[in-house]
Amino acid sequence: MAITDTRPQSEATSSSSDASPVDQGGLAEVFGSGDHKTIGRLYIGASLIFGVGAFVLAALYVLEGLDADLLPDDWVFRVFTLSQLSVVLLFLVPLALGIAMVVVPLQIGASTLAFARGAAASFWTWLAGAGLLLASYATDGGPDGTDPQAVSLFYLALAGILGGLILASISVATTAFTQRAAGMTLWRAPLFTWSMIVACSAWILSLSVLVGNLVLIWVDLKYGTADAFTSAQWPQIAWLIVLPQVFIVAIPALGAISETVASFAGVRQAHRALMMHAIAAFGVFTIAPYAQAAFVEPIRTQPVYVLQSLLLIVPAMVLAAGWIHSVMVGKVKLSSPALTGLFGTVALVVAVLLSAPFVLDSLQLQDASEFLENLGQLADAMVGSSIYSWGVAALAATVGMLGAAAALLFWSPKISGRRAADGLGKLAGLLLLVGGLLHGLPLLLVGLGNELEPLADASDVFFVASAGGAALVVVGLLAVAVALLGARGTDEPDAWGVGQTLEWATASPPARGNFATQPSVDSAEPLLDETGKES
Amino acid sequence: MAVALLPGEAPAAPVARPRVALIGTAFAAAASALGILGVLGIYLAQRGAVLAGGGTWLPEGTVIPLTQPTMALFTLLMSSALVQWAVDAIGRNDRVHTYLAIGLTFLLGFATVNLMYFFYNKMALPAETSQAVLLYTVSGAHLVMLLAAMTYLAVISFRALGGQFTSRQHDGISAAALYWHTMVALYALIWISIFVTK
Repeated sequence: MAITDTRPQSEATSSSSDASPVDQGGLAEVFGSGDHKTIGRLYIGASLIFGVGAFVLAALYVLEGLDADLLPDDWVFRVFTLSQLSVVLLFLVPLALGIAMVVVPLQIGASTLAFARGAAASFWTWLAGAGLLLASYATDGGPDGTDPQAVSLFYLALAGILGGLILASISVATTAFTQRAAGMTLWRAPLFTWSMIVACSAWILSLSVLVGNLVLIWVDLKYGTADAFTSAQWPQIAWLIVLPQVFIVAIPALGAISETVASFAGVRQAHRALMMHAIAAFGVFTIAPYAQAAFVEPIRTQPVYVLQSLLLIVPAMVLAAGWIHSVMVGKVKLSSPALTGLFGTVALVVAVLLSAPFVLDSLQLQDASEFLENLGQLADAMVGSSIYSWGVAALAATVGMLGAAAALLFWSPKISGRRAADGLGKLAGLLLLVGGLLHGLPLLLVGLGNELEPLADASDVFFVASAGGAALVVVGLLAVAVALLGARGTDEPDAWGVGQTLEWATASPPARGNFATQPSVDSAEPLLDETGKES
Repeated sequence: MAVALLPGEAPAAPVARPRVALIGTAFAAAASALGILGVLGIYLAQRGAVLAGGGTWLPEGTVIPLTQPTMALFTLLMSSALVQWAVDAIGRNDRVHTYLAIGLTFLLGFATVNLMYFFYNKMALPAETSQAVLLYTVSGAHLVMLLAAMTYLAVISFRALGGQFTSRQHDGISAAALYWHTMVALYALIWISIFVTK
């Protein structure tokens, strides 16, 4: 089997100038780059910083459940909304896009991203939007702001962020569809690439609807009654962080976990087609922009919504079974990516199973927790969502974080040229699992307080535990960053020695252009075919 | 046979890939469509709720003429046929007819913008109502999509004039046509949902 075919000399020479512009060096190389690895690194670095900020804010707003008065009264709701929006739009989605921008072209044997300049523009648009978002909050904006200009700035910033993410998603998905190496049919695409096709499609279809919501609110603010739609702005946006939509942040994790577990088990992923269908089904079941309770009051009790939310369990269980099967039939090296991937499996199973009761009307988990008397402004946040749904969102984010951490550790040689520090990587994975569960599960228990009085009585303990979980997540994210930065350098193509797909057949980190010769494959795991390293 | 474990410096040549513009445009068209469909869905949900409660949707004294929106529909349908003519013409390397078709498509797009401007002036709907906010948002978002499609077509036509497209490789024109068709289909939906059924 030939993984690489040598390109004719004349063709390689004539076109290499297009792929390899002269290095400008210094900041110009970063700010002006259209190289997919540079853009991906920028996304990864910035989103990790925003992730730390988002969970610091999460700890703060959760502590308000105790009436701790850590925040000024008019800041509580803003901290809540900023934290929730940041986890999805400034942290997990851009982090996955950043990883994909580095890894997907390498996995499919491409030299660059489709619309590379568009990808660069997406990053700067997103970053500028993020800066404006923070500026709008700082100047009395946000969904409950009182300064009309700052509120308009908030919606402009959010639209900029969404525009950037949609553009980046188009770039990654188009790359995966059109730039695959010879012989790599869609069914032979690596599972992480496949999961990014599904994720990007879901993001394009969902986030564009949110842009429509923002335009509607803005038109009402500027030209309408300014209260027809703006009196309850947050519920018009909140559908993004409610079941099942919030699980869009977990889709890339499904591919990342698949690859890390199978690679470190030294086996081909069994029932590959079934796994791909399961990832696609999971993606389809997360797309629910129609479930806007702000406009269709009983939507979350409608059979379609209930069924869609419950069906999410099926592909998740199929995937978990597939990963466990890989562990059982292979000889697993419990390196940090594999261990973090297995933690992600645990988080996925817990998240989908515990999110299911949300749709059962009799449990009142969609209702505001009225037994909490001292919530103050935090009570406003329960319009459009509930404390139980905050817990579900935290668990979905935990799956996304663990998948991203596994991917960052696994592909660290390709991202930074350094193989992640294994011990610290394992600790980071553990912190993210424990922290994520500790942040989310107590909120579920508080949410059950409407039905179970003892849980309502113990809500203070749960809020403290949840804040502690958010703090652990912050430490976990910092540990991931240190594991990446403090790793030892390597230029070995297959730095972990377990590679199965094309990215492990080129240098670490890859040079501009990625591959000296045009790769071609005739299986989904070309390196396993070549080296026969299977367990 | 051997796996090529590559040295770090070797640059690779980009390969001319087909359908990049077409696939990318399909995603962009889907995003644009979903943005508008989302607001249209809210319009229909709000209207349905009011009607189900026994109320009337449009405030008393509202006038939403049908003539201009219907003319806009047929103008856009003609433009859709014209932009497909451009795709067909470039597929036969008939550059004169390609330019003619693109130019006429652009002209009909401009006519539609003009028509909708006239329509907004004729329409009598109090601005400070949720009905007006929704109607202006839906139709305004579609106008923005039309302007985006016209810009896309203009860029592609400059590239065509530069000799970029051939009968074997005319993805750019096909992609612009795909975006145009999506925009026209969306207008047909808006026409039925808002202007006809009111």
